[in-house]
Amino acid sequence: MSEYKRQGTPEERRRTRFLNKSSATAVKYLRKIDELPHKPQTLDPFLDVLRHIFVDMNDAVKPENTPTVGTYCVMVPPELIYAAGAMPVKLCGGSYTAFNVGDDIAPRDVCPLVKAIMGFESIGAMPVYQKCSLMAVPITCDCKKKLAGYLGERRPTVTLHVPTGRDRDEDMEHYVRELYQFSDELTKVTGNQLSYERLSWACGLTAAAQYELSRFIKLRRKAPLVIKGTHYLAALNALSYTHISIWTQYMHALCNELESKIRRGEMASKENRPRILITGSPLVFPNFKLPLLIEEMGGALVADETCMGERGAYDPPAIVDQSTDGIMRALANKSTRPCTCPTFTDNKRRIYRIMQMLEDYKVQGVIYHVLRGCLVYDYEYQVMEEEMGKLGIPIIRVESDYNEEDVEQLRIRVEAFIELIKYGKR
Amino acid sequence: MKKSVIEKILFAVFAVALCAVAYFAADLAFFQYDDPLKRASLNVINDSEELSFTYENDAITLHGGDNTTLYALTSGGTTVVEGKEYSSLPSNFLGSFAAIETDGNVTRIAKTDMEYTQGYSAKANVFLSEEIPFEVSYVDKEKFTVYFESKPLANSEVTVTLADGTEKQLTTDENGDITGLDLNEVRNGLSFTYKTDNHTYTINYQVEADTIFTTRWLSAMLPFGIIILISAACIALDVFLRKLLYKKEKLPLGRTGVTAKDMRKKRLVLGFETIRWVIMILSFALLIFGSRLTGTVFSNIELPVFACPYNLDQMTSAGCYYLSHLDVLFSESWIEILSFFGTFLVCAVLLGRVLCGFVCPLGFIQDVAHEARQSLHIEGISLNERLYDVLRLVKWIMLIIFLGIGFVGGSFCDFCPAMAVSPALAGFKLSLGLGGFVMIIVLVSGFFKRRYFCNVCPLGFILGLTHKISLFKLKKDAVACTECGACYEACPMGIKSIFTVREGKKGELRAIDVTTPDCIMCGECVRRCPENNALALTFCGKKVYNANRMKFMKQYAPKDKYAPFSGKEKP
Repeated sequence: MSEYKRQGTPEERRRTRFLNKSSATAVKYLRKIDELPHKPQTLDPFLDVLRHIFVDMNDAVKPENTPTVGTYCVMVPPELIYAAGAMPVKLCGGSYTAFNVGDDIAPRDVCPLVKAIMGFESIGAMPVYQKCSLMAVPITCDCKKKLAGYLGERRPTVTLHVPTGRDRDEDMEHYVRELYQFSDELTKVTGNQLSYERLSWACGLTAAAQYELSRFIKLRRKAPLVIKGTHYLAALNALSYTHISIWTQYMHALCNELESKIRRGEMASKENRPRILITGSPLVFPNFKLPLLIEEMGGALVADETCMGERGAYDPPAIVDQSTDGIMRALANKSTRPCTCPTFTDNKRRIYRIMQMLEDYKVQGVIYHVLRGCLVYDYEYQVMEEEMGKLGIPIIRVESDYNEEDVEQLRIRVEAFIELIKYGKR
Repeated sequence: MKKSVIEKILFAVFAVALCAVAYFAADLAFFQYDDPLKRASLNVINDSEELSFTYENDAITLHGGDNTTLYALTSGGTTVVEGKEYSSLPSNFLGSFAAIETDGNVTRIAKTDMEYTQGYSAKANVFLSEEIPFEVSYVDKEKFTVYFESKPLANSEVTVTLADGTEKQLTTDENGDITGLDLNEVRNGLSFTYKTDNHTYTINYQVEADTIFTTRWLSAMLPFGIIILISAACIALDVFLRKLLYKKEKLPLGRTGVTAKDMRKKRLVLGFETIRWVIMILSFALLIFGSRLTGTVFSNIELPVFACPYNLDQMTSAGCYYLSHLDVLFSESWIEILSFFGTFLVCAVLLGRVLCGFVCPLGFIQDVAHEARQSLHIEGISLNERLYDVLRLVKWIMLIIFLGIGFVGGSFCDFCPAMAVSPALAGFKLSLGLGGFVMIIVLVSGFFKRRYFCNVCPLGFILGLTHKISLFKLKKDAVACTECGACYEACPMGIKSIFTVREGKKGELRAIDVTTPDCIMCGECVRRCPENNALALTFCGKKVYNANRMKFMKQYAPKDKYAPFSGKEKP
């Protein structure tokens, strides 16, 4: 792509330009992640996955002949897709280039994440998006709702109607029905019928991954930090594009390395670094400017409460009843009830969740990340600020968009926030 | 509005029907033994010297005497039996035999009580007639009362000869009671000798031979076997109908399971659940064969669980009898009443519904049925709030029947499902009333919904009333909790508050008491909780069992690394 010749139709030129630009951004951020100190050796496979997808423009990392199903929120249980013999790829976009394309299609106030997805869709150049046999869009927020309509005109799409409340039994039963319908659509794609054997096998797959993730979370709670926040965000972002069995092996190796590092006393940060938790709108690769900034400015990013980070695979299904229906209920339960997405009417559990994380990770400050136009997350900032005030934990709201123009502005704010924690002036 | 009125009327009809059926439970017999008197053979000791009798099939044989008279106890008094066959027994026979022979200054007597006459609260049969001057009666499995010339023999020395020939010198107390004999010693048969100045009286007290694992035991198990067969048939029919329905609706047939096998190789995780099963199996064995196994019995402890009191081999008495026969209880002496309420209160406060989750034999059977479904991977019935509310109403009706039926002349025992299980397993032939049908319902519904009967159990409800002062508590940490609802899904009693409670009564967040009267302390919620410390079972404020994420993940994570799907495909 180095030689530039004016040839082909304008459409093709636009495509080439798009690919060049987006891979350049990905390369830049991968380099930044790579250059961060204290990078574990076993993190490389995760970065290779991201490079494979965003730089080399390939399909997801998976065994041969596995169809992929694009998913857009954590409410789609991956177990169901694995059970059908396919694999899920999380397609929430973080690309600045795709955002610029999508900006022309979508209304101004739509969040950049959805704009990026629409950009990818309209250009049609990314194989990981193009090769999906099915799109599964849970109707979470308004943007996702319209996105489902947009995708539905172009691709085979399933919408999953997520209940807005979770405490009533009817809500759960409703979502179980949605999952059965989703499973029927998956059967049409892969030809595999839903059965107890397939479901239990798929649950075993994800359980193995979640077992490793639980080990990883336990290691992350060590103080001082054993792995940089940006590194773990990269590792968890890589899950979106990797078959879970492969990811489990990578994670297993990473956990083993971190354990031996702890034994040797090689920690990834100094004692006195301010410990910061990041919550709010998802941080999707390559939109890693905020975690990178925190780490550059001398903060220790110890925990995240975002759905492309830890939350993406955190909740395990509690299979109480060893039958097909029992597993379906467990899946519906785990995808909606513990979810801290602010799209639900009542979300006290998110505040409790963060309170628990403050304790587990010994957090000193909270950065509340809001993507411009992400209304539901913005709504909850008020409540969060009040609660954090009671606990005496400083919190800052950081709004950003998918471009690099606001980096310097963010840098000043993040720096000031970290200084504030460091010198104990509230 | 109209629909709800109809629902209410239907429910009222159901309630009245249930009460009526419970009242006539004895007439709606499930299984009736034609001839409950058909016995096993009697043990015989020293049959060449001592007077004794045996009976085998139909015939009664006397040993060791020539001029013996055979007496039978009837409701009309002592009667002489002429023939040597059952058919010659009088119709109002009460189940006790005695044979007597006087030879100079030695009087030899043999006596036996047939097993069903050693009935639960019935005082052992005594003849107290002139023909039998010296007599013993076996009371309450704890003591013998010795009678001489129809009066209790107080403060006298009696020699007891055991089956193996050892002799014991025992003294009666002021009521004529002898204590200190092991139950198994009694079971082998023994004889009592009392000497006056010029006369010797010997009574040979005989007990029926061990009945476990004999053909007689099998015949006692017959009704329970029939119940299991009918239940299995009902379950099979249900699965078959479901398959048909799925075929019609074009749903995947694999949903019903049965032949499905588990594709996850799971790790064996030992923990609270294992302990619970061990305790359940132990208590099941003790509450059915206890006195046979250990030779002791604690008849003063009235354990409030459904362990059938018609089974005389259990280790303790069951509180369910007096609670459902309050009229009988109030006719007892006040010491009896006090001791009953005393043990009941102690049990309720110390253990509460822990008894339901760990001890109750009926609960154990339901858990076994549930585990059977788990291994067959058949879909169950998941109840929601509304159905649990209906069950709560049914529980109230059950409670009214349980407490009130004795006063109107019925007996809860004829209605009780527990009667089909434990006496049969211990080898007691018992004709079943409606209880047999109820047991089928318990087994089938317990198969599809875990611990279904516990949801309507009246005894469990009474036990749960003391949950506020009970020493076992369930504590929730609302902050650690992610409200994933796994506990609610796991709870066999459908307790929803455990998942929805976010703040304690005093505003506490970290250790909220979420114990409810329904909680049977089975620990399922803690086992299925994926968050560290979010749920804990406490005893006297100390954590006994705590939720742990790594432990939770270990139950699910397979042992082996990734293996591609290799199960057989269903077309």
